[in-house]
Amino acid sequence: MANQTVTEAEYIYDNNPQDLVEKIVQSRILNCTFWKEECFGLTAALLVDKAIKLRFIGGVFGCNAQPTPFICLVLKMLQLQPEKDIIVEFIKNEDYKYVRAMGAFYMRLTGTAFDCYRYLKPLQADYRNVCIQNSEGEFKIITMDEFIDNLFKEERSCSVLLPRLQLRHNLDGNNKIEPKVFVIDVDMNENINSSEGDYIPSAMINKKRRILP
Amino acid sequence: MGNSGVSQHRINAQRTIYRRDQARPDDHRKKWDREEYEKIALARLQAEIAEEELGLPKQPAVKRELLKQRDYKVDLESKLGKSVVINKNTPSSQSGGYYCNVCDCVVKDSINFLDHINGTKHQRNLGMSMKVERSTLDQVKARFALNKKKLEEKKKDYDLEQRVRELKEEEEKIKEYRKEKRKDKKRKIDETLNDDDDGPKDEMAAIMGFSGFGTSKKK
Ligand SMILES: [Zn+2]
Repeated sequence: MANQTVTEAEYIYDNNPQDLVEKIVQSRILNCTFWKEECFGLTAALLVDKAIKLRFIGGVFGCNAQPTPFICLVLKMLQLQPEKDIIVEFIKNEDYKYVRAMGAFYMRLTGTAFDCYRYLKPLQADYRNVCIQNSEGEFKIITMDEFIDNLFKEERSCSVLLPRLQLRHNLDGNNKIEPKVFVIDVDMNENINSSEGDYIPSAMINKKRRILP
Repeated sequence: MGNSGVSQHRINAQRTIYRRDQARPDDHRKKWDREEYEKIALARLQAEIAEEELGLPKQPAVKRELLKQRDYKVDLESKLGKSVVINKNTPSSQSGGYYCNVCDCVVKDSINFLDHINGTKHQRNLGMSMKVERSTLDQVKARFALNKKKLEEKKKDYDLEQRVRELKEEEEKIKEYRKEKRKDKKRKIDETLNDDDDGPKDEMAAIMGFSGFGTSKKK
């Protein structure tokens, strides 16, 4: 009962949002101790407390498919289905990189292609290191922009099959999306806030990568 | 046997509601029987109207609180590795396993205990519904702000601690320095005392030297 999707939830891709995570992974999560102890009775606001304690990204790992706290909290979010504003708040958070990673991952799972491009692409200017656990249970350091890149390029991330995304130029053709803003361009013009809507993390701007000719 | 009888009955009951498509006998799929359900709904509505006309007070729906997060950490390990002697007279709360004082029941292992305290029955006994409050954006923002504030306070506390430690270290250093100085002074005094001791000797030597010189001179 406590694990039912909220009744207000909208169906995503004609499915219960929880089912974006495969059944087998779902059952692993529902049966793990972290879920039972920490994730019970959470609201989207209380989820913040748990999310800021995250120390790595990951899906399920090992031969018995042990779930990481990250994927547990993602499933919790899918159950709660918070408003889009809340997800954007997670993504915009500067202080906790794993909160941002979680928001981005959730946005990629549930958001429209338009929203994915709009909110996630700017994160590619975030070059902070994040720790990610692969399916063998090994930890690896990647950067946030790599993680975001993989959300667009790979079929799966964190043991979850990512929904197919419309190609960006299709959206461009429909005039639904603003033209791509390259961070490099922004840097050169030194006019960071020119593209309204596109969110560029201010803390990242001085760490911008220079691309050699 | 009894069980299978019940399930048989249930299936029969379902059959009255799901009707198989008569037009296609090869279609074994169940179909939703609209008429049947309409009949049932109508009957219930009529019953309700009749009840209202009789003036029977409607039973108020039980208002339960929204589901809350536990504000304590579940203690699963405090009794681990301890043995207790139990007999017929020990109350169930002290016999082995995890005891739930809300429902007065014992659960045998930790996972089942967690399942129990997260379960509908236990939450109902606590007076909670299984519905979770829906957070607003402002609540989420407030939560972030609260956590940030907490972190800063912690940092400040840490700073304070560090400063106290540094002060102590500094004091220690000063003490050491003073000790050293005192030692130095003492040594100097000793030296001067020695000098004083030496003084007369020197004088003597000088005298002697003098005398020696004198004597040598004399010689
Ligand atoms: Zn209980």
